[in-house]
Amino acid sequence: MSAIAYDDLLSRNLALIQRVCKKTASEDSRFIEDLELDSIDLVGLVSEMEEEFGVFVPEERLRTFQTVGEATRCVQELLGAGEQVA
Amino acid sequence: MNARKAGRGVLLTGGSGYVGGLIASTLLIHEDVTIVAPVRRTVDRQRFLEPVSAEVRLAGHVFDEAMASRIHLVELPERDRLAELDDAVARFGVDEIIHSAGCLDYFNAGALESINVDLTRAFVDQGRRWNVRRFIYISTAFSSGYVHHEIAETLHAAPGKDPTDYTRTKRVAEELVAASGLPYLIARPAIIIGDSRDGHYSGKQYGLYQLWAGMERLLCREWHPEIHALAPRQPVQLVHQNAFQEAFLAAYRHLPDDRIINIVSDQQRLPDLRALWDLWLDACLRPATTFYYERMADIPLREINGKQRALLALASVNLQIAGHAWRYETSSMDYLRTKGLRFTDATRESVALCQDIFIQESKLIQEFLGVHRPFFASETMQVDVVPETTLARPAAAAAAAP
Repeated sequence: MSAIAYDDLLSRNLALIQRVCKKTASEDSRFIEDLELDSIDLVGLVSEMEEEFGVFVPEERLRTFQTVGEATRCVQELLGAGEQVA
Repeated sequence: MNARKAGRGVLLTGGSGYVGGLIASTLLIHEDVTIVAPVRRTVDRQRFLEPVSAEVRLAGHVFDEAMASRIHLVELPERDRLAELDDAVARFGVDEIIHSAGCLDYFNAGALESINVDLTRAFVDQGRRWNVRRFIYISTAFSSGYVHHEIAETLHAAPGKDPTDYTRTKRVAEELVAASGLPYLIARPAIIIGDSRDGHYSGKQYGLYQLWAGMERLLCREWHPEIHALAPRQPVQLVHQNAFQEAFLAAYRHLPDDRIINIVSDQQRLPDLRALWDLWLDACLRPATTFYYERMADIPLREINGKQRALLALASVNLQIAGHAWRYETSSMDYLRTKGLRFTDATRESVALCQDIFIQESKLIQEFLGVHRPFFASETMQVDVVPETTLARPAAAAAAAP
């Protein structure tokens, strides 16, 4: 499977955050400290990412990313691994 | 002014937090003490007094200038410079420490260690220097970790697997306090919820309120014809905030030194996790079908609605803690009842009152109900999903339902 371009995923993720959270983010934005999301905002946003990209983010992965860039890398890995919602 | 005239001094940490505020209001009403509260620079006097004065008033007392003057805020020094509190300790005659400050951030291991363990150690050390007559530590009913025996009112001899570092660090702190050489009291409250009399709640969205807030913000967007709930039939150990205050005060007054008290409700009267789901679903969603699972591993997470999956991810640790079979020794509570303690156990009805207030105060839920109530099912089919059953076989699961 060809690698999915990280930059494309990042652009879509930033647009998603703008739409869902009404926040202008960058690759380095931290969800809690910079975007001021709480834990409910964050799991809600991840569910939107799952829908947007057609992936399933396991709960344990949720706790491994703190920035938009890290979340995007997670999505990229899951797409690369064929981890998609049935 | 002679500070001692206002009563002996108690140093209260975490006073700007929920539990600390409940303790502060209780002491102001019932004890002749002056409270010295070390707080972070960001906490001003107004912000500190607001919840404390509200609790005093809700308890039917007047919060006047005289009462306010019995609270003295001091800046919380760095952990290795707590000796900077020496002046305040001497000035107000502090002879007791109530250490209520704690970190609840389950997944921030550094903060949990720093606040729950290192800060406790630092205050214990200072308590020895100040020669306080008692060190009171506010722990948690879950500090044992997952064990399968009754949780005794002693230090945990053989700790079980910890749900998070939170329970581990609270247990370590208990051990530090007990080994300090200071006379001590360790209070282990269960999950604190709103007042049993009027349902009001002054805490943050932790515990049951985290679940309700998650349901509010994640589920109350559209009607869900199906709900997938982690809902084993285990009593959930909840304690009303007014019951906590009563038990704390009784323990403060009557328990001899070097005691540990489990502040818990009567296991027989508590609602189980399934009842808590049902309460919410009946009030806010009325799905056509509710699937109940015993374990998180049984839920077909990839196949369910994304917002429900998000809710389960948000609350998974608390739901799993709530789903464990916790059993407690209650000798101290039994003893305190002989001393006049009137402790209101949490029941399905009293929790429903708290939930009603939460729902009434939520603009989001009220708007949701206004739009979506017409879609609510007149009856909800309840399906107990046995392990290994998946959504690929819903008909079989439904057929197994009572």
